[in-house]
Amino acid sequence: MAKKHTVDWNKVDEFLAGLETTEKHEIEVRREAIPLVFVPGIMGTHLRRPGTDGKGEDADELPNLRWSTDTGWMLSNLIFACSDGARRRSLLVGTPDQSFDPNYLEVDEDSPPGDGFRGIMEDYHKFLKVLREHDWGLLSKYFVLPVYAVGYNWSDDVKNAGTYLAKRIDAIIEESRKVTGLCEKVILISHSMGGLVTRTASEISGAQGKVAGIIHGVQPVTGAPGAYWRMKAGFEGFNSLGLVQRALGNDGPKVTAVLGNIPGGLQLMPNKVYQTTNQESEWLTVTVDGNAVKKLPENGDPYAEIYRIKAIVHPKKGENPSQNIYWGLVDPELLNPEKLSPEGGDAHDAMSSELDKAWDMYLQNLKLAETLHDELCPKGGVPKQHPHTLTMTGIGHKSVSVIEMRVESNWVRSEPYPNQGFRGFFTDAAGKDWQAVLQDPAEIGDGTVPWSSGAALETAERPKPGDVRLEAEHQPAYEDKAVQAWAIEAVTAMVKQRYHEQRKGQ
Amino acid sequence: MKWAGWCILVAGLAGCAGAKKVELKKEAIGRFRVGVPEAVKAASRSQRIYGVRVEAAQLGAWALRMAELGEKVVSRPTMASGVEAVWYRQASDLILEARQVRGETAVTIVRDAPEGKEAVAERLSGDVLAAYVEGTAAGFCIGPGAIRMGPSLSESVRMVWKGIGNSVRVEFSTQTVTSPDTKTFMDVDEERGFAGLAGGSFAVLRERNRTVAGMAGREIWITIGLPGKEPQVRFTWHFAGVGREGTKPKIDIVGKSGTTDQAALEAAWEAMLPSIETVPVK
Repeated sequence: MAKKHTVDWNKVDEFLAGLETTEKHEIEVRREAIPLVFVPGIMGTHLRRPGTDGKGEDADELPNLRWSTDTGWMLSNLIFACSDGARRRSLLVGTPDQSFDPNYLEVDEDSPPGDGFRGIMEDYHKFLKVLREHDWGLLSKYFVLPVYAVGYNWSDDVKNAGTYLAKRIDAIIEESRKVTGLCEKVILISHSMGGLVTRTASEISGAQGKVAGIIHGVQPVTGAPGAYWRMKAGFEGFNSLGLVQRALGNDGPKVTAVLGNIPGGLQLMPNKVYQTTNQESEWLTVTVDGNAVKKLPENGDPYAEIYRIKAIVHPKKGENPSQNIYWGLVDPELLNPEKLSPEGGDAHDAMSSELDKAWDMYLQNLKLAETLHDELCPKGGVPKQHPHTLTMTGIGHKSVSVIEMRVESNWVRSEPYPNQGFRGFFTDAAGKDWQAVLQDPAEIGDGTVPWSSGAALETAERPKPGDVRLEAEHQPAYEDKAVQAWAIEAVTAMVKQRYHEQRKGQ
Repeated sequence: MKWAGWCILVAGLAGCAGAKKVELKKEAIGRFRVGVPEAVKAASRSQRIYGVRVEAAQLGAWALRMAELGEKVVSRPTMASGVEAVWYRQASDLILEARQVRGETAVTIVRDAPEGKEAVAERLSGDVLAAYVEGTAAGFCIGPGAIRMGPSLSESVRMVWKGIGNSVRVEFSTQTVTSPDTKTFMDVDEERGFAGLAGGSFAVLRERNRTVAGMAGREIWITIGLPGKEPQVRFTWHFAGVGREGTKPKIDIVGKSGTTDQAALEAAWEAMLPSIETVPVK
């Protein structure tokens, strides 16, 4: 019988005591686990009501599984249901009496979560399979790269999601250590909003020391005016977006009833350092005959100039010129569709009004968004990012970099929220009716995030394969072969980095 | 006299040769009375008037509910005689729940309020409770009776029935509107797009204007088949409503089933729609 010894891979050059020449010895080199942890984008995690297993329905006949990317679930609960804003709000926020509650939903996953695959959108599994089956060549002699996914409650504040991810990183390291005996760090791979979550976990929630590096794909680093576009007009046509992205609705009222009530949705809005693809900080324009007559934010603060302004889409009767600010992000009447304005009602209607409450809750959620934005991307400072970061920005697809509201004369229109569109109505000093019509996306990006935001973390000093811009669409970015190849190269680079760190001086 | 449980016979598919008779029972909900097949069971129902959720609950339900709320309760306000009430906190919301036993019914209300406006919510909810009349044929119906108030600008109801075949589910919902809802269930773009992206099949089985209880609405029947799953059918009837008129809310009736239960759904549908009638306000 040989005497067994175990040596960590990075200590094979060190003196090994106890090797008596009279005995046979078997020396096992212990490999180091570096878990690859994938963090999805908004709507990419399945959510359920806490205290349930995600099966069945509650007393109001709403499914306990409140969000799933399974087509059968989407057909039953969104497409085939009475899928107006009120329905969508009740699924993800609660009854009309309830405001956003961070504990209203949780990730639908096993307990313990295992590899975490169950909790995330099935489309991601294709990329995770590629990672899992990849032959890492020589690196495999020293390292094991198990693949995990960490879904999160995307309706909640990204800061809470970051804290959750930081805890999961601890658990994954612990679990991997039990298997290999050696695990200190993970590599994070993010998609879209997952980029904000991973940066938060690393740079705000204290996980940086447990992260060997972060690979970001199509991250809205400084936000996405497309999120504003969708709050006003709904998600764009089926030709330009995936099934899951479309699920929140095809008009402003449906989308606002959800995104206006959850901090996670508001955290995708352009922040105070957002710049357009023309490197301008004003990203919302009102144009007349091709000339911009208004450009916002004038003072670099979209919160004060756009988000905290109540959107009023019709002019007050007889007010010439009208003062209604139609470009505000949220029309208060859309936040809680089952509780309407009491205008024109009786004394009890007046008592029942709750528009102020819905607006106050919106402002509270908005504050969470602003706090996160200011911490991750401080104005006048440098965006926070892990020291070993690599980014991929999607290009080649029409995206919203600038919001354009084009002023046109209006004779007959009265519907502010057509499918996939928005019109703000106003009158001029002469009492003439006008409409400001939201224009379609026209700049370059991944279809959701303009390249200027996706590339906002780029620096020239990155090691190979470096920060890249690839022709990739937002939602299926990691299904693209070129993106997969880059991601694998990025993982390889980070593992090699780890190798050199551990072998330093030897 | 209770509306639930009244049974009538209605000739389904009236005027059609060989039409199948479906025995109906009447359910009164909100401002409407709907005939539903005897075989179905109410799976859930909810009503709101003046933004106050109001229900007819079982007598023993209050004690269970109080046990469930436990430490969330922050106060027990004094309302009218016979009214038991609690304020409790749920995340950032302050919510009032109250009940009053009226005859054989425990009428319960739920209403939230912004901080500092609890008294207004208590008054509003108290007025709603006080307006309950057992066994009436008029008002805003909640099952065994009705709230004799309003109509208000904030009324909504939702009722779901199941029990025919394995998969038939019918939902009746109303919601007052500030302006007519000319979009919900008025076209099938979203559904067609969904089926296309999901790699499934899509077909429109019926699309026409149809007047129900004097209200001109839109009726659409579609079927969607997803790969590896039984094709589903959905029937909808939508009335756009009249802006700021409590008695003319938007109405959505949605029937769903697998294709194997489509005939049962059709029979129920054709019996239910002609049976709908409005309930007098007073």
